Amino acid sequence: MEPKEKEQILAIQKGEPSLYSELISAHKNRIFGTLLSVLRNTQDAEDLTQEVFLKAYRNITRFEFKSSFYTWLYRIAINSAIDFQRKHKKMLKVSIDENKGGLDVLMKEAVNPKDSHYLLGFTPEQHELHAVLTASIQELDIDHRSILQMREVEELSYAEIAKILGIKVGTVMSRLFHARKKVREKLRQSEVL
Amino acid sequence: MNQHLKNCSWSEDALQQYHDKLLEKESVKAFETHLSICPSCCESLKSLKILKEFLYEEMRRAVETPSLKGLEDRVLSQIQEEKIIPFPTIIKPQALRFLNFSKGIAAAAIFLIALGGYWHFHNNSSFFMASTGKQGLCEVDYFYSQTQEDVVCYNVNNDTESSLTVIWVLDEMAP
Repeated sequence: MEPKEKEQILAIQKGEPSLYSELISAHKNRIFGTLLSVLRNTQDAEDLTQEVFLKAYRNITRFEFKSSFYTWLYRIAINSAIDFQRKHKKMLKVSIDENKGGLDVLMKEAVNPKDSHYLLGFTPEQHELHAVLTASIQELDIDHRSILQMREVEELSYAEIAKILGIKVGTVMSRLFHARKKVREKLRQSEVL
Repeated sequence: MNQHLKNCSWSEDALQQYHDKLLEKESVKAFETHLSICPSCCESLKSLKILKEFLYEEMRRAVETPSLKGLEDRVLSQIQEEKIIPFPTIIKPQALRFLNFSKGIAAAAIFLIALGGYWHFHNNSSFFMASTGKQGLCEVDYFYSQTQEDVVCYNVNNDTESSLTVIWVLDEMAP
């Protein structure tokens, strides 16, 4: 950890909230990226990023410099995303039951994400591959998606993932195994490769 | 059953471990030799790499997207408006609290044993009973005694001589 960041955290722990904005600026994009990757919804990821920084501020006296500040924030973010998605899933189930058209809308959003300008240079095959991957990841539940993100993007070890989620290493391995297998099966079925 | 497992002697597990760079050295060589002759494994490995690249690219785009403008101000103003303050003390998780409770119990037990020991040695004095000429160890109680006998008592701690009330004679030696 950089000495400057450590000083900032110590000052905030002693009651100087103004310094917190520098910490937010330093980490907001990666936290947002993580949340977007797990939640797969820009608005939810933005809202939850704010929540994560508020939660981190409330708990900042619990930060004991045993890890980097980003790692600590990352843990809060992943667990907040899982909590959020579980609550949201219950609400979503009710709304889909009430309006059967809701599921179609969700599927369209999954296959055609709004913020996909970068796709402009894609070939039709790449578009199709992107659509299949997006939809297959969307179909995974939050537990599998978050582990995929932690392993493939953050490249955390199984033990680190287990610690963050409070589960056994064997469970991490099993969830990762099944998440990858499901995505690969979708790719195989779609014959995009 | 998975298509890969149908066509190949290598397990799905080994394939994923290879992808995660967790396969043992000897197995890596064997698996790489196998890859050169197994299109099914090659295809599976390729899909794992594509998935990783896809997720990585998504993250990179999200990080580079200029979003979250003014987040710092929104968070700080919410902290001020709602008067949010950090938790004043470090509250440890339930398991650790239990651990501390156990530690407290253990510390209290050690303290009580030590106090008992101190009390025992402090109040055990050597005695010399002038009337009978007997001597030995006695337990002394200053506050309430039921079998009072006036003796000359030597405090074992400082060898001082005083007149005390004895309630139990612990070890009596012949004169």
